[in-house]
This record gives sequence, structure tokens and C-alpha cells, in this order.
Amino acid sequence: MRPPNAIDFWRGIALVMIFINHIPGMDYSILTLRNYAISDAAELFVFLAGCSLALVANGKAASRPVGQLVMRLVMRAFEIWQAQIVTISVAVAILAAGAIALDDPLLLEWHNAGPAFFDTVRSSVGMVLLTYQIGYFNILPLYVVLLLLAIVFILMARWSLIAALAASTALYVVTLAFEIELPSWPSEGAWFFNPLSWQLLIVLGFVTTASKGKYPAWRETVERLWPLAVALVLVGLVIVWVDYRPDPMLVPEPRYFFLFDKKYLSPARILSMIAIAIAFYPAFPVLLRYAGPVVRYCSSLGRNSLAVFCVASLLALAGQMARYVGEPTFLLDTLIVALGLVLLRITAWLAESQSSAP
Amino acid sequence: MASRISIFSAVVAGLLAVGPQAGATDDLNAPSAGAVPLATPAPLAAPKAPARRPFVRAGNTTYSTECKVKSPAYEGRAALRSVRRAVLEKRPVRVIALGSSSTVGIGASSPLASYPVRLENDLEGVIEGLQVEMFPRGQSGEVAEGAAERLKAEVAEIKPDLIVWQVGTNDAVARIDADDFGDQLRDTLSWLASHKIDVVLIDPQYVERLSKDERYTSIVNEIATVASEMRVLLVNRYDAMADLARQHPGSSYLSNDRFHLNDLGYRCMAEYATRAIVAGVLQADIENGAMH
Repeated sequence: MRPPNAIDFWRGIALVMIFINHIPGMDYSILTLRNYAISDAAELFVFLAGCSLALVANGKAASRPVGQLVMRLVMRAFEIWQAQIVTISVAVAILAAGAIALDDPLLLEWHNAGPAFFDTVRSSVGMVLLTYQIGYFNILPLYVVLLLLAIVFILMARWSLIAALAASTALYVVTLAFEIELPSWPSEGAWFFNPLSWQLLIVLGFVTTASKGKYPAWRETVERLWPLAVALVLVGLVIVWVDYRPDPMLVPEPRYFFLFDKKYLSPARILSMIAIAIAFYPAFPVLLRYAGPVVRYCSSLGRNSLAVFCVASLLALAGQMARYVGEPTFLLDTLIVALGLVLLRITAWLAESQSSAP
Repeated sequence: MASRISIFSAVVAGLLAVGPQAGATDDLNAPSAGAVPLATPAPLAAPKAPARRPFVRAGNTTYSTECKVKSPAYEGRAALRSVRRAVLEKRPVRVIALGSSSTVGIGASSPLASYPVRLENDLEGVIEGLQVEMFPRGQSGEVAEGAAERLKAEVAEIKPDLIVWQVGTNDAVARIDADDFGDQLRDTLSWLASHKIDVVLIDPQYVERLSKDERYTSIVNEIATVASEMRVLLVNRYDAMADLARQHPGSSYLSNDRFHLNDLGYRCMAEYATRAIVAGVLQADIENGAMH
């Protein structure tokens, strides 16, 4: 088990925020990033996944043959695909069980689950292909595609970090300019998160972390950018507080460059995330010193992010069901959050004990 | 589907008499007091009606037997001007069916899946020259706040003439406060109106378990309040389904489990929505005539 580090800690924070955000209507959502910034916990999670990839690719793996690195990333993508299949299946089962137990057909269509019950033949295929996603269970499909795309960029980065970043940016620009998206099926529409644009964020995470070891001036650059980053964070805060959002019918074409769009990850959201990353970069050592238990708790979640994410998603669905069945009160919300945080810690502990078992 | 007649005939036949305040069966073909069957030539040559040529030609709509309800299937007299304009310009009417959870394809087996297809066919059958380009879009569990942003982006991309919006279910299930929900809905409807996009709202499904649940029904009531305030057509799915449940307590599709009522709700919803849309287009025609 590795000691707490900044990436694991902030990843743990992102996981807790995702858990809370996935239970809409709770008062506790005021504690999550989206109330204070243009970007939200999903961006934080993906950016940190890129940072984490840099540690994987530039550590011992850097000296290994390309084939081994590619295989490792492919297997990781496969592992996440398996996790998605399991969690979405359990989620559908939870909704079905709830519908039967409560004699409540509404639950069968909750979160776009309708096709799983009413168009089972095609949605079974779509589930495996990741083209059928239900609400709040759409981050892992993004993650699978991001990892597969990242292989290309990581291999390019072995040659040149700048080339990898340029290629990723080019794909992002083309995606937004021509509004290229992955179609969902059998439901009409597109993926909730567009991997072709979100890949830039994982590559940015990768490149910034990889640069740290490669360029001696990295720390100095971050320190110089810190006041600007803080200013941008404050501007984002004001924008959110005054509830300003560009009107998609009024912005110029190509419009996704000028919106705060989540599906396409508009530039404003990326800028917000980078500014937050730089502004809060110096915070970890301080937090480690003065808020040790919190750091250790969040880091344990972050170290086991896949298992924790899956359990958090299912717990959030259970939390929604509890609020639906019972009377939603502050006390109930508190119970849901407290129980959820305990169960997430237990999940992390179980995942860790399993991985350290002989 | 039905015989076509001119809007002019419809107007003079007392169109408004068959609007939401129509007779108990709420059926355009039902000979109820004060209502003249639309399919027959209008006997009343309205002397004060402005003489003008007919614009949109619409046929009569009929509810299938199983979808007939006592309560009005829709409310409001909003004019669907953009849909009318599309018909007159002889271009396809672009319709987003939002919140349908629908899947692609004609021939999909379930009523839920085929609802947008049914709506498309019904509309094309009843309004002469109307072609519908349907864009079914599910809502992935987001409550109104998040869904509004996504809706706006979809609207900017698709540039629809009409949105048929099943609204409120996610918020009702997520136990969102009705006032907050109403404010958000008002904002989104104002935005749609500012961009001249027609809207027909459909309120949440009736679920017996929740019929006395104040939080659930408060969302249903809030939708009615906002729709009335914003002059938007509203399909009363909740009341209609409650009516159906009362009317058929012993029938096979209701007695075994409540899930079948849900299916029926979807089938009938297309009929109610068609009816509301036709009325909205005709209303636009009347208002346009009044300006001539």
C-alpha cells in the first residue's frame, strides 16, 4: 500500500463528490465542485486519471518494451469494461427489484433504463458495446475509450510530449468543430460524455505530470502561473454564482467552443480544471499536515478508485431509491451520506486487502 | 387515419368547442352538446368570421376506444406557430420527443419504444402536407437543472420547430422541491419561447402508489401552473392515466399488475399529444387569420 499522495487524495475527493452528485436533490450537493466552478468532479476524475497514467507509463514501465505497456493499458481498459458491465447490470437489477417490490412502473424508466426492460434484445447488445448507457452509469464507458485512445498518445509521448499534446488537441478541435460524437444505441442520441473531446483532459493530466520529471523548470512555471490560476478560479466562481451560461443559440459557430458544454467538454471547462489543478497544487502538503485523517481517508478511496467508483455508483442509486421511498429530510440525507462514506472506506479496505493477499 | 377537411371548415364548425373544454368524451368525433362533428361540412356559415383562404388543412382526430377518458386530455390554447410555418413552407417539421426513453426504429415491439413513431405517423396522417422529422431523446436521470443545459444544446444542434417534452418525472422521483422545479421550468420555457420554438408538455405518469404522495402530485400540479402561466399546451397524462385506471379496474391489462397501465399510458399519450398539436396548429391558423 502506497502512502497518501496528492493524486490519490484528490481522486478520493472527486469520488466522494461524484457519489453526492449522483443523488440529485440532496442539500449536501452544495459541497461539491460544480457549485463553485464551471467544471465538476467528472473533469477532476478524468484529469487525475491522466496524471496517474503518467506515473504508470513513466515509472518502471518506461524502460519496458512498447508491447508490454500497450498490453497493460489494454488489460486495464478491459478491466474497466468488465466493471461497467457488472455495475450497469446490478443497477438495472436494483431498478427492476424496486419496481416489483413497490409495484411501481416508474422505476423501470428511471435513468433511461426503459430500453433494458422494453427493448431487451437490442439493449443487451448495446450494453456490451457500451453504446447503451443509463443515467449516472456513463463515466466508465468514457474511461474505457479514453484509455484505449490514450495508448496512442502515450506512445507518441515516448517520442515527444509536445507531439502527443498537439495530436490530442487536434482531435479535440476537429471533434468540436465538426460536432463528431459517438452515437448511442439502441436509444437515439449520443454518448453522455464524448470521448473524442474528453481525451484531451486525460492527455493534459498525463502531459503535465510527465513534464514534472522531465523539465526542471516545471515547478517554477507552476509557481509563476499560480496567481493567474487563482484569478481564473475566482472568475469561475463568480460566473457560477451569477448563474451565467452562454446561450447556445446566440454563440458563434462552432458553438461548442463557446459554451460550457459537458458532453463536448468545452474549452471553458478545461480551462477551469487546469486553473483549479494549479491553484490547489500547493494545498496537499498543508492538508497532509493539518488534516491527516481526511487525507488518509480520501487517499484510500483514490488508491482503489475503480472498486470505489463502482460501489459509489450503486450506493448512490440505492440512496436515490431511499429518498424516493422515504420522506427526503436532512436527517435521511445525512444518514445516506454517512453510511455511504463508511461503505466506500470498507470497499477500499477490501480492495486493498485483496490486492495485497498472497 | 382520418378524412381531411380545411381549417376554414374547422373554424366555422366551432373549433373551440372541441378544445380542451369539450364534452365528456373529449373526442373530436363525438357528437356532444355544442360541438359539430368536424368531418361534416360546416352548417354554420359564420357571418362574422373573416373571409380568407384556408392555410393548414387538418383532419379529425379520434381516440381509440381504450384511450377515451373523461378528463380533458390536454389543456391550453397555445398556438404552435413554428409548426404551422413549417407546414405552410412545405418543409418537414422537426420534432424533438424529449424524455421518451425511446429506442430507434419502426417495428420496435413495446409501446414505449414506438411512441415517437406513433406520434409521427398520427401527425402526418392528420395534418395535410405535414412531414415530421422526429428526434427522440431520452433523459438520463438528470433533474430539470442539468437537463435544461443539455436540452438547450440539443435545441441549438437540431433546431426543432416543436418539442414534445415529457417533463417532471425525474424531478418528482428525485424529490426535487416543486417551487425550484417550477422556476427552472419557467426559465427553460421562456428560453424556448424567445427562440420561437413551440412546446407541448406532457406531465408525469400516474402511479397508484404515489396518487396520495404530496411531493409527487405537487410536481404534477406545478407543471399545470407553469404551463398555464406560460401559455403552453399540456397533455394531462397523469389525469388521463388515473381515469384509465378507474375506468378499467377489472380488465386484464390493469388487474395483473400496474406495469401494463404504463404501456397503455404510452400508447394513449401519442394520441393525446397528436390532438394537442393539431389544436395548437389550428389555433395558430386562427390567430394568423385574425391578423389578415
